[in-house]
Amino acid sequence: MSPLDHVTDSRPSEEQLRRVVEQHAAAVYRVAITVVHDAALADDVVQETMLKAWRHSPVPPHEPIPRAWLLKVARNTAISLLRTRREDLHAPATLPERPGGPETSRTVENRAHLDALWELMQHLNEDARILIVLKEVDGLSYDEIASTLDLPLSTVKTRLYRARKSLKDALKDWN
Amino acid sequence: MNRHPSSQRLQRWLDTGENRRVDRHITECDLCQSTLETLTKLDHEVVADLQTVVTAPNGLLDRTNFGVDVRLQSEAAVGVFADLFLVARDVAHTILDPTTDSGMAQPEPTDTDRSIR
Repeated sequence: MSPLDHVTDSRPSEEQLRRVVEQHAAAVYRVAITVVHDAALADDVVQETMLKAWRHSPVPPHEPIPRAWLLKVARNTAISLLRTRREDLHAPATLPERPGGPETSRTVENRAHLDALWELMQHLNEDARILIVLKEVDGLSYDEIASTLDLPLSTVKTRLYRARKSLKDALKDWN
Repeated sequence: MNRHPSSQRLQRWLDTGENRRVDRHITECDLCQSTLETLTKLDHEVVADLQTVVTAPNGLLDRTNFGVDVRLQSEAAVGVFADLFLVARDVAHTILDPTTDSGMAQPEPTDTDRSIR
């Protein structure tokens, strides 16, 4: 029996849930790791977010889940999980290992460079980190970011300018 | 503020966030917003590295699907347990209810009962 067989209401089917996972898990993970800094906890955030998306989707099952809504759920879930598990966390100063990934052959220097960037990112405040990731990595529009973070458009823009400036300055100091 | 702030002034605004007039001007001025975009633009290399540092380790989809299945299964098990508990409670209630004749010992007949018979 599938774990979803007992569900008889109008929630998305198992196949639709799998599709949401396939389409959005990577972006949800990026938001999660940006907030929690811990790969295992970020995995938990992804799973929790997918379950919430499946249970409380704001659109009918056949319609695609809005990305901004899903990332907002991811961020809130990450903050909430981080609060409840903060005391159990060790300090993850370096990036999670990625055995077998394309980075396996990465040189030690590059790895150190990435670790340093990761550390610099951790010194920015959470708002700044998430703004940078949503804009620069996920390529969200300012409107989508405003909707994800529940902020006015003008605030998103000014905070993002300052976030990027802070990261640039930090990189300059590090170099 | 009708005149556009200079680059230096915009830099200062970025650093300190002070000056409400500049603040207000930037909110409404596309040209200054575009200047700030340029001033704060991250190098392609930095963006590529950022992409790497926040990318999930291999196997995210498998881990997510597996984790979601496990959690739904355990929730379903709890649901079944709760149902069984409710059934058991109803059965116990039926058995122990003195107003039913389902196995509960009946009280001894009184003298009045005997005289009626």
